[in-house]
Amino acid sequence: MVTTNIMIRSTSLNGADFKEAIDLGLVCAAFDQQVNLIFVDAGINNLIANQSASILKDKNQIDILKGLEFYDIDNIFLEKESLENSRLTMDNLLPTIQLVSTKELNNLNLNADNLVTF
Amino acid sequence: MQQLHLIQNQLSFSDFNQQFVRLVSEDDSLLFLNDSVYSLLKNEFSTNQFETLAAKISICLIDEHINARNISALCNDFRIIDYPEFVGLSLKASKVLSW
Repeated sequence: MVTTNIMIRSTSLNGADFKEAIDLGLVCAAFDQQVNLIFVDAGINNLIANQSASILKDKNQIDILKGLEFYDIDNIFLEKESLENSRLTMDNLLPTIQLVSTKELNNLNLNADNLVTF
Repeated sequence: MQQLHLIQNQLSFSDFNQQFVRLVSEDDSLLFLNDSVYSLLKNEFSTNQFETLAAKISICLIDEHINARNISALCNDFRIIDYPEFVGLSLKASKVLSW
């Protein structure tokens, strides 16, 4: 099975990168690829629970993260070091996220067939 | 007369310190807009150096921008304003600088 890693460094309320990353993941999953969504740096802010983009008259794009398992995207990773550099804790974030160290993240990327960064 | 600095994008504390702080005076106000509010969640913005600066100047955030991102509980150290107050700050300032 082909594995595609999608690293997300951008945020959902700033441009289209986040949506494009998720769309790419859905397309890859539709073609039976193993998709790993990996959130690093500022991208970890997408994982904050209970965001309300509607306050800004925007679409809540992060809501799709809650339903990715229905599209066979089960692996959502968060780089531990990115979290440690922030005042956020796991309590602030959506559940079902797996913490990985930078070393584990590098191994994930080395073992992937494709790597795309947004 | 004070200046109002509008910070639009996320930045690291080193960028903030090197490029920005030298141009800020004590009476100035800093307004973090949109995704720039995430900058303040970084641990590097919790250093003594930043806290010393924050004690001298007014650091503001717009309520809608932090509520939409559900980070208001993490922004208690800053002045939270609404859009009418933003307009008031702009009118009060002698210059508005957008970063």
